[in-house]
Amino acid sequence: MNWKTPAMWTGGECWIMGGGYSMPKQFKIPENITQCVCVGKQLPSAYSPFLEVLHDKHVIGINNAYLIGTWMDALFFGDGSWYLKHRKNLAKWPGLKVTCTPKFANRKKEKMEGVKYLGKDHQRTHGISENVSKVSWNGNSGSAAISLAAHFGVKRIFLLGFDMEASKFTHWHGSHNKNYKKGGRGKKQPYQRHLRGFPQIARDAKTRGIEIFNVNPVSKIDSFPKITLKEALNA
Amino acid sequence: MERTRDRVKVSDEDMVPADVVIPEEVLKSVAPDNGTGEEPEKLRWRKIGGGTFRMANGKIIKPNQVFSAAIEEIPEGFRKIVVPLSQLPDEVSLVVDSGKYEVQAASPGWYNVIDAQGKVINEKSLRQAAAKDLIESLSQ
Repeated sequence: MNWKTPAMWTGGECWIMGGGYSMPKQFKIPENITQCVCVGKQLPSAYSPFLEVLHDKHVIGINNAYLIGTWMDALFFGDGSWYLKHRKNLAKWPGLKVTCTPKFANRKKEKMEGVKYLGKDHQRTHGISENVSKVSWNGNSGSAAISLAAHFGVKRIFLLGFDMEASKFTHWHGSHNKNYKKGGRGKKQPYQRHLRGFPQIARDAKTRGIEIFNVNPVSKIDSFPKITLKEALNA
Repeated sequence: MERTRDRVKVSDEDMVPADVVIPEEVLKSVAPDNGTGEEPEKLRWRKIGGGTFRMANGKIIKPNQVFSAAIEEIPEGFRKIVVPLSQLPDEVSLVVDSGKYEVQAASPGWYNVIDAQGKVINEKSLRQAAAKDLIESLSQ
């Protein structure tokens, strides 16, 4: 059964934490810590002390972001195979767990494993869904989470780690798919495809009076104003 | 920093400047975590019928091939063409921490909903009934 998202952050702001490598840079997290996390020698929770300014803010983490800390309000994921890998850890994570993966579409409540399900809005595949029980998928979890934030009622969204490019590492937690490097199934990086939804998201956000800022001055996403973390915190 | 095929070379400019103080809790060594907490048990499987089966990690399984994989790696929908060669263990249901939310008085007649860490979940204080409705929604 689809979850009906409550408008609990009406008029407020929230931060959406994507996986891009710019996130630790914005928080001035030392490079050696980031690299240790990327290669699995440190837990992502090593970032937590550096993100203290966010601890009391509304934050939606995308995929592995939940590993940073339990101070995050919500986690959003859209990939069923990612869930299988993290299932046991997620069971112990106390925040809101929200997904749009069809794996949860027809499950009974007792089989939901604490996960809330929002269907993909097929009437509005790109942009921001107006149906509080659905999200516009836009091709990736981070963009879909913008619909979740809008359902929560926020008027301002700050995007963290929305780089849409791979520099030293594809993500601040290492790579989801090692085959990107090897030339296997995922030999083509998906970022060009991920970029497609943002112009419509920007139009929908404007219509709904939602301000979206990209907290990465060198992000490949050109649909939102790009600002630094300092500017975001002073906004 | 430059990246070679298998290794990442770290140059001096990537390292932490000497004047940066790294919190102690960050420096203490922790065991690497792949996100699962423990390595899932692998079982033997056989791909039956024609055609190949592509696993989520990109590995391609050929017809009639016997291979090892964790139960989680073989979606239930494919269990007719990828069959286990041994008895599947009974599925153990997860004990889920579904987050505990409580109503807390903010000011006379107004309430907040707080999570297990004491963080206020709502943006603006709510009437008691609305706060209870929010908890019900979050606990669904």
